[in-house]
Amino acid sequence: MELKKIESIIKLFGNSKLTRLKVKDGESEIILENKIFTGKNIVSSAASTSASPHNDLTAVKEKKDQEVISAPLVGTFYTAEAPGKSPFVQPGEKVKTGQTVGIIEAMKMMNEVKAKKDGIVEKVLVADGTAVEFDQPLFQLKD
Amino acid sequence: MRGIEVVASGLATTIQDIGRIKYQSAGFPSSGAIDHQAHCLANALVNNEENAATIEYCLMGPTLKFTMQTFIALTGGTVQPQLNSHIVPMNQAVPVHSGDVLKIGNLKHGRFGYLAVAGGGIQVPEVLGSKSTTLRIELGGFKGRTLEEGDLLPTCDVYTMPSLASRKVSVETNNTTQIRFVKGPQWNLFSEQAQHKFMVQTYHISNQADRMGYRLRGKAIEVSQSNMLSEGTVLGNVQITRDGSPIVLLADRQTTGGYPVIATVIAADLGKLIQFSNQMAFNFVLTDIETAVKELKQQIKKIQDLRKLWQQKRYMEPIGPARKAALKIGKLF
Amino acid sequence: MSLTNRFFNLKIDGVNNLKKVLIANRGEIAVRIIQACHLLKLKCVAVYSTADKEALHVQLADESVCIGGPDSNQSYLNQQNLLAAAEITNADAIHPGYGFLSENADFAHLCEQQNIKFIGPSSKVIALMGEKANARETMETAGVPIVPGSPRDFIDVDSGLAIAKKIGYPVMLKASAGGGGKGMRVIHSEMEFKQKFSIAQKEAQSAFNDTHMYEEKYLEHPRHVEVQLVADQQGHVVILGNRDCTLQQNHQKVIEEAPAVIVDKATQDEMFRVCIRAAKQIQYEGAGTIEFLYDAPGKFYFMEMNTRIQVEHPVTELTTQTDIVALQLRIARGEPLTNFKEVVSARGFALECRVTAKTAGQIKHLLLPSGHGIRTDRALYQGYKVPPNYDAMIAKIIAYGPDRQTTIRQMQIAIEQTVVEGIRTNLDFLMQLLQEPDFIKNTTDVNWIDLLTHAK
Repeated sequence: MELKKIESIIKLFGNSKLTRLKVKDGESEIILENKIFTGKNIVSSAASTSASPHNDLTAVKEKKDQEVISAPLVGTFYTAEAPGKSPFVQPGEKVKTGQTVGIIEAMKMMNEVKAKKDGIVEKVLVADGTAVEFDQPLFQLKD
Repeated sequence: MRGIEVVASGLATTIQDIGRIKYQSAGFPSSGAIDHQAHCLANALVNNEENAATIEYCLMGPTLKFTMQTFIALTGGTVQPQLNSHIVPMNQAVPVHSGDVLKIGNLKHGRFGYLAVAGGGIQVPEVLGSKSTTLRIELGGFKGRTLEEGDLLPTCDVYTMPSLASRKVSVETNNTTQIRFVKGPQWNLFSEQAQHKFMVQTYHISNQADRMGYRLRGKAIEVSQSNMLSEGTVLGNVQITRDGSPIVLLADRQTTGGYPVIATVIAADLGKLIQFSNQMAFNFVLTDIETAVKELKQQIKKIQDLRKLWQQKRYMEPIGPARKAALKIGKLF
Repeated sequence: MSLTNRFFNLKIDGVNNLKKVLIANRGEIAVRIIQACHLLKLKCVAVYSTADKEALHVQLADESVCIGGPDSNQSYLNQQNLLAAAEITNADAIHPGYGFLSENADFAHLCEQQNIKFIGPSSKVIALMGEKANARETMETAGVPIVPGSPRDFIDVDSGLAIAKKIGYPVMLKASAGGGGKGMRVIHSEMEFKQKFSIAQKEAQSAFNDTHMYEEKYLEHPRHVEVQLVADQQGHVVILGNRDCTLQQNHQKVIEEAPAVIVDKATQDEMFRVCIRAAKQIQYEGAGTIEFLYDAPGKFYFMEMNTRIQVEHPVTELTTQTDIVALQLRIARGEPLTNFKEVVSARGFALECRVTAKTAGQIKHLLLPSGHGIRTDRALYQGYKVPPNYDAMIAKIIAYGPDRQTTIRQMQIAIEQTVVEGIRTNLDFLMQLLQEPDFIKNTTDVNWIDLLTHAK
């Protein structure tokens, strides 16, 4: 598949409301998945190999410290207090230092994730119920 | 072939070791480094045996280009050696690499200097058990002659040197102008007056001074003109010629001599004497055999102690260098 | 018994469902464990700190989880994050390696509670062997010799003399409250005892305000000899020979050997016998090492038991043709050690050198040794940045040959050809040690390197 073609598929997918798109073209295959509420798309797998969990965990990384809220510990990340309840924060919402923005469950213990600085949530980078590792960016903020 | 290339020869530059010691009876001068102590120290600094061949130079040091990697040490008369135009210290083991040029330059103090090269010294063939040069009979050393521009001296590649960082000494300059002697075999042939004169007057080294012997300047010593049979010579013998002037016999001395020997300079003080300049006034002081032996043993022990110290320090940081292959491979990256 | 037999003719009775192993460690041992997991077709999860993002073990594992910051307390010692990592990756066992949490009874206990198999003995056994006095007592009861000493403290010279007579000179007199050499004396005779006792006691009095003294047998030139064992869940104990780890610097092992050629056959048999008995008595499971001070034929004394894989396990693997890390995994999944003799005898001789970094930084040039009889366990690669946060050991070079002299020579050649540039290492130090006549003649003791390196 040509790079130009992939680019246009991604563009189309990004503008759509789809959460998953699989395109097969002869030998090559591209799967686009929308794992994030804000509608940012990740190319999770190209060609005919399946994505390993390792890749998923590190797919979104390398954000600057000051702009993100990162996981303070290893566990399962939840955006809301309980299933069905509304998320602690939504994109566009203001957060204050110390405010609870999510929960990480580890060893059957719920640990609150708190904002380390004031800001506005630009993006939620990890889907509800995702396993996260230490220091993994969870929220992207803007001033 | 790799080794040391002579770029400029310097003055009377020869290959020397501790001498051809067992062949004087067959008519071969013993030769060897004229400043034995400085030669041995240079070898100790680069972890050589004391009998490894060094380069001896007189008043003007040679300029040498290394075409291999090794360690060197310069001892003896004071020079300001430059390695690739950077001054390097004397009395210290210094690493040199292929392509390095060492300019030893003129001696600021003293007459003879030594360059020792690690890995067993200059690899010239042994003649009668020695690598030293006897110029007069064109024997030993590098083709039996002084070094000349373009000569290539064979040496070994050396990459390792235990306790490299510790291998330096400060050589104290001994300012005494007294040279100790024991009575020579013909001491009693001289009148008391002559003996007294020998001990009280000051001497200078004359212009007739070379590896064979130093003729001294001073008032004439009255000497009996009776003929004596020739005798074997001993290093440090002070013979009085017919005109009453003393000659101190040194490394390249003739094997026998017929002049009466008033004194023998003790071995421990010879190194000092041979480095004196023409301007240096000195006098002779009588001592006994016991002192002479004790002093020599002390000098030998000084170097032995240094060797022991460096051996003990081999685990002090920084350690080594100890691994030749790794250093060679490292250059390939 | 052939290698193939040992490995693949397995009885799979009672094998539990071990499928994925989390490796709670870093560096060469993490790499070593990953290799063993892959050998047994087990999935493995690497964990890493933020300082170890570019570490080799992270690349080699099937999955990896970042578990904390550079400080070990935040990462490799962070029990909560390690268990959470096991939870989110569905790992059913944790291999602790050596160091870090490998001998932490609390962590082993937490694993047991979470129903995650801690690869090693039970938390109870770890706790028992981790406490020095308890371990000594347990071993003594099991018939393992301990350094003869005074059964209790004493304050008068006569009691001291009586004990000294019983245990034999030389003895080491110590202040019970002691430390820092205060009140400590090595005593060679009854007369010396009488002369030195009161001064030593006065020293103890002024230093600790306590006149209680203690004495034990003083070993003048002790050697460190240890016995490697593996024990399965069914109660079989197998001895995989012994090792000589006498060469130590500041109590850190530097060069290790197998077998311990200094030990005569009769003493060795006796050592193995007491080790089997002790391991059975405490219901040991997994790989373990019992460390002894060896004094003379027949005279060896228990020091401690390490309830984990040891750094120097490769020398045993080479001389017994075993894979101890794989055995740990197999034992953990319930396989019995039925294909082994009780004592696997050593063949040939193996030597290990620990290569350590003296500075952190990037490895610019790297050439690790190889060739006949050479094995290198490492987590290095060219361009790797050695972080300053962890243990200094960066690689282990192991040589295997027919006898001690040949193996030493092989090791000298290997060390000489090893290139690690960009950081400072102990390779020159190792090279010099390997050439020391005392080492070659095997006449060293545990203080030998310290005496060499502290020479003025």
